[in-house]
Amino acid sequence: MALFAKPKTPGNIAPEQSQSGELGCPAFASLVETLERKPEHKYHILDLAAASGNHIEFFSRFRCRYHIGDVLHVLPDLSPPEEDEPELDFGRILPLNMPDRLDLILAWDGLNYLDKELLPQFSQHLVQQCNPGAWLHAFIYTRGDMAAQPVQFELLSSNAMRRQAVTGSTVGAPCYPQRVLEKLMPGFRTAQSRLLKNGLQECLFQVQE
Amino acid sequence: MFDKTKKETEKKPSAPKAATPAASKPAPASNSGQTTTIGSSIKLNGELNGDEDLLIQGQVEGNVYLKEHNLTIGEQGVIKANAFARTITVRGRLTGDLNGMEKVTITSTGKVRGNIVSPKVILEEGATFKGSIDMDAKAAKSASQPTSQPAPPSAKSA
Repeated sequence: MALFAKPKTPGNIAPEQSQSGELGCPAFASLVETLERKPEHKYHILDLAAASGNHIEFFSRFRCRYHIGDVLHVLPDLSPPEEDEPELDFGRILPLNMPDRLDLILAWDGLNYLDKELLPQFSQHLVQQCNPGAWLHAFIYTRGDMAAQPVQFELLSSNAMRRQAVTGSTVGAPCYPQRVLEKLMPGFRTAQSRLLKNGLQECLFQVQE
Repeated sequence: MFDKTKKETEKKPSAPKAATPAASKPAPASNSGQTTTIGSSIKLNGELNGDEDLLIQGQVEGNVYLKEHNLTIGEQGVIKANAFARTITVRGRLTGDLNGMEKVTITSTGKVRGNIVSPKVILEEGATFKGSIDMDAKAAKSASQPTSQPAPPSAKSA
């Protein structure tokens, strides 16, 4: 299967892309600009990462309700059910029972860690709670290995972030091509996609209206 | 019920590692400059209303209203309550909703499960938080007007 570069097996091979360090995020910067154009609008934001003072401080510039998903550490361990097993219940893994619909989801490198067979179901779970036109911002690895667990992202500004791996071990990255990823995420379309210098693809998806 | 003999000034919160410069300021003291402490051996079940700063080191279930004052949950404090105060600092464990008219701080030792409404929220490195944060100043203002019969604590994870 040529679509996926490597199986997700642990390895000690030297990573081809650094798991830590600063990176630019032009698509995120343009998203922030878009959000800033409506200072009176109250945004509903879901961060799939654990609570971070840095993220909260950054988004405090907006009128917003900021939901902590804290689900990234769970994603690498999820596997598709066997034939005789029921489907995974993402409503329990990531309860989204908030009264308001979401305008923005920060997925960052989490999508790389979810089994590709589970991505459509996860994506559908997110879309159901989104407003039409809602955004999903993500980073996708395009080559080589990635850290064995999702890395932490620190916002330095609207156009710069710092990545910090929480573990030294690495696994093969799924390296989804853009078109494959779109197919795996029904309900979302690519609004912006940029290949960054370090081999990360910065993706801004939008819920189809 | 309150240990009035244990009047003390509020401990300064440790400086957060990832927060704004304002985060390093201690919570402003009340007019009296005094803080009442609920000691670590005290267990309290019910509604607390107060007109001075409060430090909780014990166990409290119910609701806490310190409209114009500062509430601190000490490191030994274990709270299942909704809390309304000018500023709220959590060093211990809290399950419930927090409404801080000015600021809510969860220190590195703090563990909170619930929802926060406040125009300014500071989460120190090491703090644990599950829930949502409403950083809308208007929402914080309206939430600071408690109804006569407030809802029970609702710990939701987002």
